[in-house]
Amino acid sequence: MCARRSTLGSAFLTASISAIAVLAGARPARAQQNLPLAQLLPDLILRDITLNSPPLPAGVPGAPEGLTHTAHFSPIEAGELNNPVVGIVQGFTTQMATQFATFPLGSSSGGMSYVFDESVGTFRRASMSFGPLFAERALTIGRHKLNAGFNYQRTSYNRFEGQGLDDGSIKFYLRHNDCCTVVLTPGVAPGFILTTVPNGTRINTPFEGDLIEASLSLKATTNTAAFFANYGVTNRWDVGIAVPVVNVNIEASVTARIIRLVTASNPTVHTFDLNNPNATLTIPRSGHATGLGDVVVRSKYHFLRSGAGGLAAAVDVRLPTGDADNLLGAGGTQAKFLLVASNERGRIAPHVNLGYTVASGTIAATVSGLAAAELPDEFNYSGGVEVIAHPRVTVNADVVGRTMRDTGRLQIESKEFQYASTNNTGPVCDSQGFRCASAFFDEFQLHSGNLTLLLGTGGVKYNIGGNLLLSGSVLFPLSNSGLRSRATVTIGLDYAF
Amino acid sequence: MNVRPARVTIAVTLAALLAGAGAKPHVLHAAAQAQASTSADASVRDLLQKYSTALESLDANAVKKVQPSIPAENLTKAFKDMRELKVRIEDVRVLSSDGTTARVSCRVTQTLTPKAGAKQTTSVTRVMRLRRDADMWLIDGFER
Repeated sequence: MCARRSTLGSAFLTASISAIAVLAGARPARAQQNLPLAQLLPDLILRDITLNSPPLPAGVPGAPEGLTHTAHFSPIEAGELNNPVVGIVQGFTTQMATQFATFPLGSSSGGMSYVFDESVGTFRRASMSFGPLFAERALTIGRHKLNAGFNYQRTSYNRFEGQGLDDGSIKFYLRHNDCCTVVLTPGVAPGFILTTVPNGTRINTPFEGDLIEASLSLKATTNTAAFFANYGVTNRWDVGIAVPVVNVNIEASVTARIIRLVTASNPTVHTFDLNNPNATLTIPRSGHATGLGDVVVRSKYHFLRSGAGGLAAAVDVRLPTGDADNLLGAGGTQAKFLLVASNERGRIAPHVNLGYTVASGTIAATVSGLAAAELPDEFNYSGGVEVIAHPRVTVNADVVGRTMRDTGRLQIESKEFQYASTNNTGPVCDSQGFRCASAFFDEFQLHSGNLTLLLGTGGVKYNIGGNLLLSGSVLFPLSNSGLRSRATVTIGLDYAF
Repeated sequence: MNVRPARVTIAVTLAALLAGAGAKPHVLHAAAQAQASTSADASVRDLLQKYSTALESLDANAVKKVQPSIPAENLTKAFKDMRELKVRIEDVRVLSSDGTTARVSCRVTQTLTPKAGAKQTTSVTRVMRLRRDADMWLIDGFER
């Protein structure tokens, strides 16, 4: 038996060392064009969409020499950070960054611990269950016991607030820069004077009424290998650490289409292709980063015992060790305080966790030049049941919930876009006498409020032999809010020394 | 003194038992008591042997025969997770005895091979309360 234990122990160590070696040899964090990954989408949407518009030559009546429309839909390039689309894109990318870096890690609640039971004068398995997968149970692993292991999980995201991420259904409407002012001068050729002076309206100059519809297709995946260890300081008190190594991959493309609300009669004013004014523009961008994520240090105290359960208090401190600019970390410190209740009756072991996370720090700045958002506090709640299918097999089902406070919600709504009427109808809405018309498009709008994310999970923990546990689970979203993942597969090994 | 060399070691010396039970100054009285203690010691050793054998057999009913107060259902559950249990009892000392009850200290070493999990050993010094039932000792309970 000792030989068997040794074999399993060395297999576990070999697997761990191999995983460390693979991750140690992983690519260094980088994104395309040395751009931090958190800024890839904002740059793609807010900077990279530019027109093919040669500068005006000298001598064009009424217009300044050198005027070009090239960057008129690029608010970053134009330094127009109060453009409404900037806030929408920032809200979108901030929510993505927050949820990327704080996706739940599998828990290690200790596998097989035996205690000496005075009442029966011999050993008794502390719990028949191998513990939950994404929640905690009250049971600690026992004095001077150590268990360690790693989990690997792959998460890919496919929806955001109910919209498909990779099918172009998320659309942003780029407003023209408020670049210019036209003053009508009847009787004087050419009848107007155009200046590059903003005037607070996109009715004047009329060409500012055009829009660009930017349809986003995004494939975002994260691979996380979390190494963890828990140690029983006393029979009731565990301390632990989880060290995640994270790989983030983003493949995005945006297809831009000019919505000619104003320039239908003169399409070369705004075009991507002077030979084909109605051509669309598709820009692909990709980036990846690999590195240390946010290290979590844990402690749990089992203060009330009841059979194989009871009540425990736990605290998880998530340290800002991950590079937030490359979406490997949250960008701040989070301390999660948990009350853990669990029980075991026959083959059923229910557990409930209630907690609150206090956060400090800011999420990665997604739009350069704009202040980054605060990392939100969270309410945490999870509950589930472990079913002891066999002394070597525990089947788990959990619901894991979190409510991020005051993060705001992006919701699709129909928005009115005003432009200068081209057929001289509609109300006069400019001092120069331009009449306006309206078009309506569906677009995200940021609203204040909390963001609640619910995940369901089902899985199995299997005792391969000795003290080695193999776990496998599937994590799936139960809510449509926020960034929604496809089924996330998690596999793990856990060894009790 | 190895009662069961392969599994159970009940190491008792008569002198230690006498000292533990408290020797009397009168020679005849002491001799009579020594004889009684020897008899008690043999009975105690017999009890502890049965106890260790019962534990090793992973049979809760067998354990209940020598320790009637044990919660047999809990013990049955504990045994269900065991593949093998080795028990060694040593350093036995009769702390007190009045013929119908006794207190015995011993070191109990148990090595568990569970069905799931790794082999582990624990060694604890326990104080047992014994009571005489007919002509045999039974375990009444544990003080620690």
